[in-house]
Amino acid sequence: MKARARIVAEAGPAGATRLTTLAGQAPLLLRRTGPRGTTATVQLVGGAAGPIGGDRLDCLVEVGAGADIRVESVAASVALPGTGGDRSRLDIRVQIAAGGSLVWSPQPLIAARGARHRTDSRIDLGAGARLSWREEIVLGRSGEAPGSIGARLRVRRAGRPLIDHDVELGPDHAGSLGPAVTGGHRAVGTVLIVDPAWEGVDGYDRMPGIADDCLAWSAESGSIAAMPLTGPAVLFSAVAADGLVLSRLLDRVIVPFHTLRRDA
Amino acid sequence: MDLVTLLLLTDSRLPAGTHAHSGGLEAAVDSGRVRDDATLHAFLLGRLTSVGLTSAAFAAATVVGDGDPAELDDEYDARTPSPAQRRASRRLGRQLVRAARAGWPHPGLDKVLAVHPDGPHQPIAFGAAAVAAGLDPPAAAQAAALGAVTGPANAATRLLGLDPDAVTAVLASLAPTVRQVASAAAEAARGPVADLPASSALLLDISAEHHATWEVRLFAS
Repeated sequence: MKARARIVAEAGPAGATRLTTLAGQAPLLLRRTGPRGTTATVQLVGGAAGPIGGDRLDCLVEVGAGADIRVESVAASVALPGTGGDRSRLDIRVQIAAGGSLVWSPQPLIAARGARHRTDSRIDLGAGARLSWREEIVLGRSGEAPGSIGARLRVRRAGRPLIDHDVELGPDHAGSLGPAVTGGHRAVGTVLIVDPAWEGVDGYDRMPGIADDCLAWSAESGSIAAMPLTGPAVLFSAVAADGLVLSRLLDRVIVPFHTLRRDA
Repeated sequence: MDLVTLLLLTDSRLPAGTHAHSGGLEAAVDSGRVRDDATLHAFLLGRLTSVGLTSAAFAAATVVGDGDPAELDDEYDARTPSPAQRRASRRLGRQLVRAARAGWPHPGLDKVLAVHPDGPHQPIAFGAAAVAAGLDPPAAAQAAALGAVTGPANAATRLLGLDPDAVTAVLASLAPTVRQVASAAAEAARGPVADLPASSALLLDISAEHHATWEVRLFAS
């Protein structure tokens, strides 16, 4: 299956964000939800099973200057094996202009046994753009052996690389389920927060106390760390026993971004 | 490509500071994730195929590039989210360039030292040293991939008191994967810098940050 979705957000009069394009095809269907206002919320609605091996999905997001959008999904998606052993692939391309803001916070992607999926997200940020990008991966449904999954997130900011982070997990990737990568945890996730207010603010001073908080939140069932990048951004990485423990860990760190939002 | 030069550059007695770093093994041992030969093998395999691939590709790309180490350093920096690992990598890079300058003086080594006040990232430094010593990209990739496992393997004998013969057996069993990873790295090094591998190891990142807060530790990273 081939499908394509496109979201274009622009700042309208009086600061409200308008969605000038909202076009999807199953399984990438899009719906606007919530009140009309400064922030436009879009739901990714799973219009079909999958991604299934062989699927080729493209998602394009353009956030104009001053526009503010939030993309979520209604339910977790399950990557499934195709008949020929082909990979499924989701390419996400995002452009955020100066002063634009995107919160990307879909439900987890579950790699079912035998699945072979790759998500490739490439994001271009203008100076002054804000981003919160959350990804969660669960290795196998309950009681099931993990599928194979790769997820690469590459963000450029004002033309320079800010982060390039590729997570490859499952039986196709030797050593990935061992003590250097997942350590037997079944759920992994990251949250990237980019905020221009952190320009010139040193490392952990961007979120005072967060390193100690992450240590305190970490336990046998799940572990998380806050990693200030060289640019004005912080990456949170977490591993956890299951999807529930993972999302609880990541929910705790999502909070600070909202306090930094213009309309907060 | 000269084998004697390659052996000299990869010798653990080269004063490049690697003995002070465990490549994340100290934290993995402390958490109980690595405790014997089998779990050491699993740890090294995961390290090799993730960050080992990335560092080997950047070492080889530095040899291929022969041009702007600053762009490669920026790209590698973006692939190293953990501040603790960035610090360790730059410290190791700076020490390596210092040792390499003594052995193989070359203008490229001065140039690579200038990319950042704290020194270049270790794989970029290794690539510059490989150029100075006359190694080709595949040799640089092999040496870097091997280095991704030999450092932590040496640390294992100190951290776990493992039999050094058993550790040698673990390393020898990884040799075919070292070759595969190096070959993939050398292939990637011929392509655009932005497309170089970015393979990461989540637990290495997370535990590097936690390890950096320990008051007493045997290894710097």
